[in-house]
Amino acid sequence: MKREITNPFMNIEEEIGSVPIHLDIYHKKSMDILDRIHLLMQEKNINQKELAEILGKKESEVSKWINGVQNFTIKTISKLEAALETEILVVKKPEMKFSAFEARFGVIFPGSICKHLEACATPVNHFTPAGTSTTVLLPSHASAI
Amino acid sequence: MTARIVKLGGFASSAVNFYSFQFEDSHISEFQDFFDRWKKIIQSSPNDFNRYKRDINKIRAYLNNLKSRTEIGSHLLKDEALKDTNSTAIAIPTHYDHRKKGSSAGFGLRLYGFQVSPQIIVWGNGNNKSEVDARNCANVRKFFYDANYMSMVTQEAISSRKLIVFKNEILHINKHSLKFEV
Repeated sequence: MKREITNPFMNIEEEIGSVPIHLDIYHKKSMDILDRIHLLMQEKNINQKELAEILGKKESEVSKWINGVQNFTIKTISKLEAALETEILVVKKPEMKFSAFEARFGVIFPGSICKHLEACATPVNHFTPAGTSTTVLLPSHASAI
Repeated sequence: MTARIVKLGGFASSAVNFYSFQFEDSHISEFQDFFDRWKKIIQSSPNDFNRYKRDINKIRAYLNNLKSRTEIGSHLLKDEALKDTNSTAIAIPTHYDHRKKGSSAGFGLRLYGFQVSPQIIVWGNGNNKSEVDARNCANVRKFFYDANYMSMVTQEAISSRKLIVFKNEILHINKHSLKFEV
């Protein structure tokens, strides 16, 4: 009897090459999100029917979301996050580095202003070399170096 | 007819194990037949090469990612069990392209199998699905029923201790052939 070949994809790989990396990433993320939703439902003791009621959706529609039949959109994930009252998809924010002085006194010297300032900032006083002050935004996740 | 369950090698992770079933009149498993057959189809279909390549890669990406998990929740697999039975038949992918009904493109490739435990899946065979209901689709009907029946006879064999599931392994697979009604 012929032995089972070691790599089951070997024949097909010769023909069409490896799986594109983005496709592997896409499926990993989709599966991670589905696992997370099911874990949260379990933790909060919510079944599919109850989740549909919270969302104001038909159970059949919610079933498609949480059983991987339909692709997630950011909007769908946001609705689920609101219903489950917790984050499902966490996007890593850039870590900002500020000097100990800047972090302690809530000021930023020119040159260390965060590129993502507008999205993540709180207003603080900015001291200019001449001694006058203007208001700039300090990122809320700024940390001292 | 009888069939036996064979272990599939070639996947890196050890937490989850993949198996397939192999009929007595075949020298390869159904899983291997799926990929061998589609290799030939792709070779002989230059016009559909890209579509078939995309479909096959979707199945491969699914398998890679399922295999890399510590356990596989049923929500990651499409339930294909026959109603009112104790079948555990499943299919991948769980979602497919909503192509026009009746078009030759169908809904894309579907691979059938069954889940024995969160860490064990036995894969069968598959094909291009062209109808919403697998029972009405000439392309996949056989594979749908094979996965369902094999899941039931395997469950019976496990219940009667002819096959033993220990952690992520099915034991005694080399000694035992499952009777499979066709």
